[in-house]
Amino acid sequence: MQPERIRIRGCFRFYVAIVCTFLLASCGGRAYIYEAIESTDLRTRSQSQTEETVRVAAALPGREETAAIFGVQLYDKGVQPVWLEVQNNGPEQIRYAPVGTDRFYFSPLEVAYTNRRSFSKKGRAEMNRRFDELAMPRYVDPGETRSGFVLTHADYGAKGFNVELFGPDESFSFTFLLRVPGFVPDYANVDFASIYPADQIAVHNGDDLRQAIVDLPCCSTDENGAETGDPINVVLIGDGEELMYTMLRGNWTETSVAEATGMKQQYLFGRQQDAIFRYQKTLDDSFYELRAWLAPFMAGDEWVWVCQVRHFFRSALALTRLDPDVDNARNFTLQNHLYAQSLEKFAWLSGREVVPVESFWTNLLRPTYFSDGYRVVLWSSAEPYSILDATLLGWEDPPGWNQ
Amino acid sequence: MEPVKKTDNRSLVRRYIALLLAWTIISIGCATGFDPKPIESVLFRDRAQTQIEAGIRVTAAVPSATESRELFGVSLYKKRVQPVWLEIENSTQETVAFMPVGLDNNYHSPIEVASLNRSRTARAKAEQYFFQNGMNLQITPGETRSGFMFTNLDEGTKSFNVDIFGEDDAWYFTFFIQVPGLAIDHYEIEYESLYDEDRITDFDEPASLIETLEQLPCCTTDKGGQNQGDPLNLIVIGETEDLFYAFIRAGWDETEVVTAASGFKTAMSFITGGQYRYSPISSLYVFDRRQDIAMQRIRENIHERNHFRLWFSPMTFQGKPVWIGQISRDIGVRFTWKTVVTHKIDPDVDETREFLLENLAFNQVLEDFAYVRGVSVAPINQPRQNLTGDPYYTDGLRVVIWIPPGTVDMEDIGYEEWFDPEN
Repeated sequence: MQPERIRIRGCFRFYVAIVCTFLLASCGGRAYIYEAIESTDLRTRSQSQTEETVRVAAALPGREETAAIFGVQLYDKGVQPVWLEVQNNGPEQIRYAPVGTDRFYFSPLEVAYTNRRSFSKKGRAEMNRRFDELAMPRYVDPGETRSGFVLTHADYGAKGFNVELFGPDESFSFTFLLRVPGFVPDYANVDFASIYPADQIAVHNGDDLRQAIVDLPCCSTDENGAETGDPINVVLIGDGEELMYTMLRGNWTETSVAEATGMKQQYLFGRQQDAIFRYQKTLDDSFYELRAWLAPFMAGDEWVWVCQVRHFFRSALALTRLDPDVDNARNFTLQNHLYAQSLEKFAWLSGREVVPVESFWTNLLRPTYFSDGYRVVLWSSAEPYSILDATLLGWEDPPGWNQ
Repeated sequence: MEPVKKTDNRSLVRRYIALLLAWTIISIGCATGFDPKPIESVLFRDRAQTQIEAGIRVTAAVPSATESRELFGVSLYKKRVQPVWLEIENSTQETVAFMPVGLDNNYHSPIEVASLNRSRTARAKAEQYFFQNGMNLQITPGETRSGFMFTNLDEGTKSFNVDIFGEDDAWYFTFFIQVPGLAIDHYEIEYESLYDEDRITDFDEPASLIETLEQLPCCTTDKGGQNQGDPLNLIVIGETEDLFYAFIRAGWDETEVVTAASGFKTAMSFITGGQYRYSPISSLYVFDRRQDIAMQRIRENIHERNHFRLWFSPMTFQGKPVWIGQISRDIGVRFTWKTVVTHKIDPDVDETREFLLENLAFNQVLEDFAYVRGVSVAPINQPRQNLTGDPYYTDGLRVVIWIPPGTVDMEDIGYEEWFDPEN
């Protein structure tokens, strides 16, 4: 009798469990819970800019703040809300255009829809209402201040974006550069002031500067300074902040060393790079990578960054492969700066290490790359600089560029 | 014991021989890899277009999928790579540079494309071949240079810029080149023959046009005209060629007519979540016919796209054709009783309408705009439904968009106060 009873009890429990699961499933999951935006310090930590009669403030909520305000974790789905506040002190209504901030911005109800799973029917309705209410309004009337979020594609380092506003006969354009809370790029840990003792930093101008760049090592090395690595093919001139702006405007993203693991380490001046940026191509997994080292000399009162730019792509074996045409990566970087309107002037210098393309494919001991040995020097400008105004200095003739 | 061991050995030997044979077959198969045809024998340059501006001549041609395979021995289109052939002649007194980034800021390097070859020996050959056929960036005075750029794939119409810079000058060329291979829906329609000439009304005064636009049907219908679908929230005024130029410039893709092959491509991208940018759009009806033009702008994958449909109306305004249309944003895929799988649309259809306006403005292809009524209001708490049962709400307005021939700076966009959306 005893075992039979136990079996019945077990069965009964099993059925109860099934019925409970079914009930839970049919009443459709959890309620939608969120916190008021006032629970964060977004407004107080926002950056603010004013142009004539219009003031715009912007702030980025971090992962946890986003989850609290929106009730779901948006960063996990690649969505990053940007908080905006627009104050219109002009006489005319102005219009905010979200495509100016992100060409492929998400609509509020679209993001709510993709996050609807696990919420009850009532929860979903509340979520739709909440997302709609949090959206940045399109129109701001005279004398009015309006705020809200625009939902953009996530950037995990710093985020550079524009806020474009239009009135009947005028337009206002703002550029913001905000750090995403919680992300620490490599160079944030580098104390640039202490890399070189102040009395050891030389200051060069004109021909001296040119000679100092010519004298830079041809290539990076391994940790012991022995083996010859890949070429040093770009020199950037500008202070740290300026460099950041120009890179972000050219769609480069900050990368941490952790992300670059698996890549061979590169040493120059006896240390690894001070900063890494990547330019990810949109439709495949190939990318350009720029490694920068602060140089032990300055160009007048501006800092000099010695860089190595290379292009990597996924080869047939699903391995990342260095594009042997390293000059292509250098030429891309120049064009990228020109098109991002970040280049004030530039110059070419022929280097010492030429690896001829003619023998590249026929050489039995094939080198890892070929190069004309040229180096391009870029003076970056934080203020937009028209592509037509960028000056080519007459240091040396440009190489007979191939791609 | 003995005999058993013997058979073991024998079967091992057989296995090795089989393995060796398989290996040989595989490696022979791979080694046949790279076999490009000389460029003269592939006739894609019959479709070349030439533009000349102040001493610089640019000729451009785009090989189709088949022609690309012949030229480069690899199915480049399958890898979403599209070669563009350029020839640049410099008759000026200075050295000029061509900027690939202006043509496609995510262009592929020749060696990257060559590495699509799987066999090692073929790859080395291919790398050299692709590199040598790449486009040179610098053109000295009196010189003519030609070569290929490897761009990201656009089927249908390939639109691109060729930017050339000298010391103090710049030359900008814009090309629109049709690439054979897609059955694009609007290529099949002869707009002129849609209506008899005496049925087309030309409006000269805004007042009478506004009145007529407000009386057009609120929504699209199904084929029988019984059930109402998505709201007709779009009026476009402009010549047909200008429309295509504008929309392609603003990043919209043409769509393929529904055929068995296109259905297969859509199904594959649905399964893999990949990008099939020319996926057909289902038919909705106005004026008793399905849409004349459908275009879409893919975001992350096929579940997320904005699309619009346009119908050529029997009206012109100050001599220019008037189109009526519908725009919505797909935000996901859901299952229905009627069509099994359908796209779920963003219920806030006005948001998508305003997106189109701003998208055109930012791409400098908006001349003027206005609003008219005609859809009738559906408030957020009393949404209406389209044909597949998706709810939507709207302020009931249609946006009227004038498309310019060429481009218009953002500062010069006009606004007609036909109806104020804020009141």
